[in-house]
Amino acid sequence: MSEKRFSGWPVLITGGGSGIGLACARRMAAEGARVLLVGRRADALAEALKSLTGEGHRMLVADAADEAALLPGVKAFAATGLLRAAILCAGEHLLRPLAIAKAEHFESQFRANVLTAAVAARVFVKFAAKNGAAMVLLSSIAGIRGVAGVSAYAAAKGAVLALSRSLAVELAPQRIRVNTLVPGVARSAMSDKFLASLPPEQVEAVRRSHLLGFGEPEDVASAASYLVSDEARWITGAELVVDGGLSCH
Amino acid sequence: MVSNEQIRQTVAEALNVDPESLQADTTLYTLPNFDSVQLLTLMVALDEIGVVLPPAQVAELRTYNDILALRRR
Repeated sequence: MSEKRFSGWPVLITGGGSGIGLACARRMAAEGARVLLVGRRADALAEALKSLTGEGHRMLVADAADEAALLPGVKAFAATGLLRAAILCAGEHLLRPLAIAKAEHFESQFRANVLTAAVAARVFVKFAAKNGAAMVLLSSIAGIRGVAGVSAYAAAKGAVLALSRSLAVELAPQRIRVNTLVPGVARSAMSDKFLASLPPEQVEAVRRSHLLGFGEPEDVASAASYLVSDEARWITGAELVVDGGLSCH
Repeated sequence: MVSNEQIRQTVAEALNVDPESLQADTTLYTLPNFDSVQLLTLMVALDEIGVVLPPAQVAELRTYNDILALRRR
């Protein structure tokens, strides 16, 4: 395996300002990719951009669910080279038990987690390399297992899995592979906020259920880098669980 | 400052009980189907109206009055 397996690859990463998205950006950049970081918070993106190794990285302040905001920036970035990969991490978590979950919560979760992936995928495909490209979407363990208190989030992350499978079939003729990561709890600002809202004994129970303990964003980024790499050239429509053993028992 | 009546309405909605059934000495764990998910629901619902129950102390909640006392700390 070459040390710089993504040398010169233009790569789109949404949700790149923090957490798993940022870890993916750092991993891809460290292995030679030129990254377009997309996120809603300019300050976080600027900090993230500064933390990337290598050259040619760009940032785009935009809501990934807003195609009009996304399209010009991606087009400009792709003018320097068609995109080889997209890692679509934009998303939000919501702790909202059903008794107090209103329609607006389900709508906002679908926008934050599903629409961001669908719209970014649409834009990516317009500027994807013609000789092969790869896309990774980010679901969650909540999308495949029942988790109390997060039904809107879980429904949205389940929809991401369905979206990914459908896109894998639809885009295979264009030589675009589409796969999904299914992470457990990887420590980030988003997961820390969730864990901080739980009583300590529940946090401990969640931790114990991860046989290898909580993960780090870098653990998920490592899997993402594999799925977009040429080493995964025969993998599409797959779901890779990265959860420290949470779902095996 | 959130009024006691707002808290009562919020707790009643979160736990799906009649607000009138919530008296100071009402024991939460004797309410219908009260469990860890309802406790979580209670925390999130109260947080939404600005009443933060410290997660580390919710295990101490026994009665409805404990909620009022905890938020005053």
